[in-house]
Amino acid sequence: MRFNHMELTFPMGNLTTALREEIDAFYGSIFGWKGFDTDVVGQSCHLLMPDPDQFILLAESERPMSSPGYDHLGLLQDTRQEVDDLLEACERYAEKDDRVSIKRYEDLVYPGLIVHAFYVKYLLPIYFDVQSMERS
Amino acid sequence: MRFDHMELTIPVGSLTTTLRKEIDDFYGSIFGWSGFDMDVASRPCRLLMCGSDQFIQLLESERPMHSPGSDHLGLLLETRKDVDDALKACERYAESDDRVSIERRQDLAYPNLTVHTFYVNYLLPISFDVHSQEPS
Repeated sequence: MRFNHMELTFPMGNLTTALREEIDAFYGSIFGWKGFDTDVVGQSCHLLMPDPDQFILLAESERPMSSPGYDHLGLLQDTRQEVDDLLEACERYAEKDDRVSIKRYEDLVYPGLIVHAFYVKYLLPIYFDVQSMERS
Repeated sequence: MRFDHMELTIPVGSLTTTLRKEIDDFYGSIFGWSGFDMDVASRPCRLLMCGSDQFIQLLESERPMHSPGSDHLGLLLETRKDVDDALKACERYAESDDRVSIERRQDLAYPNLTVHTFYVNYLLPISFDVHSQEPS
């Protein structure tokens, strides 16, 4: 058993063509995700696919999610350098779009483990925790 | 990059010893998850270890997540029978605890793929989409 996808909902009328394009532009340029439209049970949705085995489904709902805090999905990278490269890419994007929300973190140091992370949120209901885990 | 965890927040004061035990009992007996306490950035947290190096962390927040609709995390199981067995286990649990919310779904049939699924929610802010994917 493994997590393989999330469904995230927006208020009715919000998942416009313009929003879909903005989401694709950000998550495509930063993370390399592919975005495309799909119908799910008769509803027009938008899929974000990091790879063929994982996806995020965006849909409209009369009862959308709200996450005013730091609820997030963790995106595990292979190395600290990859996390740093993604942070730099997010910072560059934020220079031209102030809707990019970035939260920098000190490393979390546990016995035998260091977690190197930042959070980023852009036009989706939740943050992403972009992190690496280094065994020490 | 892979999805490796999700942080979910619940209202301050909610993450009691009783709730932790109830969550452990349900998700442990149905999915085999194991729960334990730890601090994350000096905040008390309940970790649910889900296997496959994936986990869910529960924290209290002044601004908790609210998800009254269909938002969910997808749990991919190996086979249709695994899904049916999990559904039966949820139904048995629901006989003694009416807080188990189960939504049965018709198979989603796509070209070359059939998704067999049900949704379940128990004491967490989002539902789980328990499913298998069968090439057809």
